[in-house]
Amino acid sequence: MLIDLLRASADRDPDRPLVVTDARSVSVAEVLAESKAVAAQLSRRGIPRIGCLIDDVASLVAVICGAAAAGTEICVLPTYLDAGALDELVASLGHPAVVVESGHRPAGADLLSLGEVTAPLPGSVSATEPDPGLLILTTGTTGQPKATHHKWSRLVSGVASDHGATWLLTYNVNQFAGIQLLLHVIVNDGTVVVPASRRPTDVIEAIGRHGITHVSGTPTFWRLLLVQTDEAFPVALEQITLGGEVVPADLLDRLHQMFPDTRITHIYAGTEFGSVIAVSDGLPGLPMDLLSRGEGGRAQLKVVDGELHVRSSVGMISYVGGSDVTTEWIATGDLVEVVGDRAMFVGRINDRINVAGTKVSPHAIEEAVYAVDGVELAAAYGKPNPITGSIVVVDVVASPGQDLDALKQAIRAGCAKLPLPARPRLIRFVDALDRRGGKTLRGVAPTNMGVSR
Amino acid sequence: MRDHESLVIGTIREMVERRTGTTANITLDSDMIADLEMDSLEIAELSAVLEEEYGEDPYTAGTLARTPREVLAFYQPASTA
Repeated sequence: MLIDLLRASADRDPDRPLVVTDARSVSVAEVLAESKAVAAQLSRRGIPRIGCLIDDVASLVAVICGAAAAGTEICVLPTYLDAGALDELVASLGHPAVVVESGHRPAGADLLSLGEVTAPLPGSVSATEPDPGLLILTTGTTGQPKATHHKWSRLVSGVASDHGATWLLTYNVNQFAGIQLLLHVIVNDGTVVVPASRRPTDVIEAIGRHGITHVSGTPTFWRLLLVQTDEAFPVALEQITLGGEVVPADLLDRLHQMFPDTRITHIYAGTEFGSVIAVSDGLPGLPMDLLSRGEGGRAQLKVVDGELHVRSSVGMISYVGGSDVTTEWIATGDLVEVVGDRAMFVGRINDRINVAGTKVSPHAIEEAVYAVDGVELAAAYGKPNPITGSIVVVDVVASPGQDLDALKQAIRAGCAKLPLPARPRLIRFVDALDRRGGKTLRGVAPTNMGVSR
Repeated sequence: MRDHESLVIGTIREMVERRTGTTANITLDSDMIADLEMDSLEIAELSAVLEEEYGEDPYTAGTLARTPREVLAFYQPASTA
């Protein structure tokens, strides 16, 4: 079905750039031609399941669409793992073959080069499986990544419409959000621009150079971008989208100040349950009326013991090796508090820090720290402690030129409104925060990085 | 020794003054629980600061040091015994 979407898009405008990178711009017709070759090659080989280790996003889209047309289930593997971790992952997923670009040589599977699978092959393709689906790995910010099995048809049905937009890719393409954005531009005759890196300077340069109008990123991504933007943002954006982490009120406010004419949307999505809610009213949290709607929509939501549960028509079929959950309520791991007519996110269930028996939310702590002038970035987490089980530590990236002793006192004063167990006991000034997949790591002590006292 | 003593006394003083809002008189033999009324969170903070500074601390090692002198003895047992 993906190749049909590509074909329809190419029929409308074959020369439209589908994927733009620093190195090249690839039209939808070119991606379609490459997809057909991939479909023929995989079909001829009769490979039912395949892994994929490709950095080049245009080639990746062709391999994804070609695999779907050949009836081959695909898993986009993360290209940033070290060799040992990658071998372990490939072995655990049990793929008989992996499509690789030069540089990646995972052990334990047949390797197919990108050149081999994109070589044109005459003949038609008849897939035995119309929707072989794909595996998506969870980000694993608070534990080991898990593999989820999805169907393309369900993911496509969750794609919102916005014709012809030019989007910036800020996610890894092995992540749910990255896959969803690729589908989004295929379905909506859009263009995706891949920046040279996710460093704010490269991002800002790419936005200006390629006429990007739509940017989706995690709250961590947006915070980093705002840090680099002293006054006005150099380009007007039509759409800003945030997701993947709790979206704090102060960040929404700052984005609205920096982008007064931009539509700003918080997407509630997860690898397991798909992209289920979009909120654009400028307020944090979810409107409660979304939680009380009945069946018929994309998803139903309910709160059980403070945790959001979702029953979704766009989510996974199952965890790999697990049972079908398409009609089940999925516990999201997201904790909410009902405040008036909003369900406010307070953190992940695994993020909570147990301080002397009291469960503490790192997000409430970060909110207090972010309210202090001179704080650019902050991450709260628990550190094991022999007296109280854990204590709260906050890593802070200070804005340039700060008196760190004075800033530490100001952070302590700002956190004095928190309950005693939630107040940071160690405030560490660091050069950067630990991140994975664009998200800030919380709930676990990050690796040591440039700590200064 | 002076550096260790300054850090231990200074850390304790900072915590107590943060809580009470008044100047604290702390000696090597002040009982952190009985005299200074430090609670478990403050002892936990002290242990974390010491562990950050020196890579080990008496509390994690299983010693419930009640005075600054007992804390210092963990690091330099011969000179403070």
